[in-house]
Amino acid sequence: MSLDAHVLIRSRAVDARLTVERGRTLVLLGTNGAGKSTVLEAIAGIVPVDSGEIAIHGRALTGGGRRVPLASRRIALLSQDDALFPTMSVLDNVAFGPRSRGSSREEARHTARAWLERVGATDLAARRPTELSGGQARRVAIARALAPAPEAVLLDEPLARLDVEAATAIRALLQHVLRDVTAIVATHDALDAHALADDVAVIEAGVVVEAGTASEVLTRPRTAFAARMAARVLIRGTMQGGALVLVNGTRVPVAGGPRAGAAAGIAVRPTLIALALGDEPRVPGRAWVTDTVVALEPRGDEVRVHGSAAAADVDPAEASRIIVGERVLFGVPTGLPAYAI
Amino acid sequence: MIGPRWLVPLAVAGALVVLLPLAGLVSRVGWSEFGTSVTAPASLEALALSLRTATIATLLVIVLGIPLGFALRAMRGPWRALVRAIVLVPLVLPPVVGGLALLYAFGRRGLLGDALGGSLAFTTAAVVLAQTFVALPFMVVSVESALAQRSGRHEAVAGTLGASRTRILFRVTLPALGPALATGAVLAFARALGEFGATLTFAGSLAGVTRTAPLEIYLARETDPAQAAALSLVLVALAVAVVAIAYRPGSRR
Repeated sequence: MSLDAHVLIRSRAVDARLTVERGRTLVLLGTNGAGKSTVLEAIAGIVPVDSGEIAIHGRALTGGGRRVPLASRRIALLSQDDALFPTMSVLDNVAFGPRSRGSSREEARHTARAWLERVGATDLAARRPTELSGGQARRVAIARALAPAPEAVLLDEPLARLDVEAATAIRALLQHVLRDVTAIVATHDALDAHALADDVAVIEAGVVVEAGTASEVLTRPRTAFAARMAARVLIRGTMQGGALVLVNGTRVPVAGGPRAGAAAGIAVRPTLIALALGDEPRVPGRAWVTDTVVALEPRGDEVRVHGSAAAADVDPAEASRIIVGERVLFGVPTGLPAYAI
Repeated sequence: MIGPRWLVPLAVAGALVVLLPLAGLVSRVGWSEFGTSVTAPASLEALALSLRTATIATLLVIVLGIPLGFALRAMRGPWRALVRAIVLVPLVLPPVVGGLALLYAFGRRGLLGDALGGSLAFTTAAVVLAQTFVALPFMVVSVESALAQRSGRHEAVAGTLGASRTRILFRVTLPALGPALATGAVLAFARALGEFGATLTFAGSLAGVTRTAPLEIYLARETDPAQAAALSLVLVALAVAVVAIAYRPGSRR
């Protein structure tokens, strides 16, 4: 029993395959513009697909020339803009789904009240959507999406455009309400992936480049892109006598790893990698990788210095002295777990 | 928004174009016999007929204009422009020509004369039809432009929640179109209330049957100018009241 989707939309260069087992949460991880929203909207039935199959628990929604209408799919979509109905009260917004599925007015309102309570929005029932803060609106939208008991729920960046406090609260709420729900959560944020995912699929330019359980994909990514989405940098090489040997010959001692001669890698958080200019510092516990600066990426409090083999997060003051094309040394911690690629 | 100063005299001139005739009208009202003029049987009969027919015409405009607006919105390419132009014809047609056209369609020897089992012309139904004909474009234009501003996002979300298209129409789309519908209905009502040329041509001027307030005013203007002025003032007041209450283009969501 699962949600299986192959979404093919040529005009948007999307060709993505996804599977979510019943009751699990798949995080669809990708940058803005990678096609996450399009994939979700296609599964929900809002965006038509050119071809491909979408089936939920064995019931085909598209494929073989048929297309199940929106209302019969039983797949709820939580869009980035919440899209609450402005002409209805919060309670009526949440009751809309159950009522549309055939509940009586009383039953629907009862269900809606129960859901408002679950998302901690009971006191908002009589308000209009325009009177809600961003976090409140998101809570109501979550309740509305789940109230008709959909067979799957698709959440498009459910933590975007919220302040830090609201995002933290909504993240905790989602961990709670998505526990036994078949869900796909699209996000570009590694924290959300770690917090919400049972499984992770990484999407790059409309194509799923990597998929697996959360621990597999987030801690042992097999592509540079997946590593970046998991807030890590992937350092590749070949196993040789307890060390990862990089293309330029640098030996990085590692723990474990596949047999000698096999392609392997370590996924390192860039904050753990040191950066040195000039001579190799004599610091124990680090292997120094000679590299050339490819790009400087400002990331809030720090600047990520990208080389071709590794990357490091450094202080902006330090980064200001580094120029693209310069030779640098990345100090990679030794003893990290290596895995086959 | 604040425009340049030289707009002021032009705005004043524009206001005078509207205000001077109204002042002229008021100056002709014989205030001592205003009450008796307005409550004269002929006046009351015409006013009642006007209100009745304009109300029915407005309801017809709502029921027919909303689907037409949706249909226009659903059309693609050159068809939309063509169909829109045809639907809006009553807006630019001289009312007399509209009346003639109605006569040729629904009159005794008109296109549908036989199918209707006789002629619609010179009946109260003809008054309603003439008013609907001239007022319909206001609703169609209102609905179409309001729909054009909608992304369809709420409708899509309502669909994923299991709502049928009918339910989406009545619970999501139409409530959101509320202000546009009110605007369209008010403009249509005002237009129907003031209808003269098409009514006279197609429905004639039978007292109590097709003689609406504007026709009564036109008839009375020579025999009893005071009554014509009094009745005119009532129509003006009615129109101003309706527009003031329901027409708020700025308050659109």
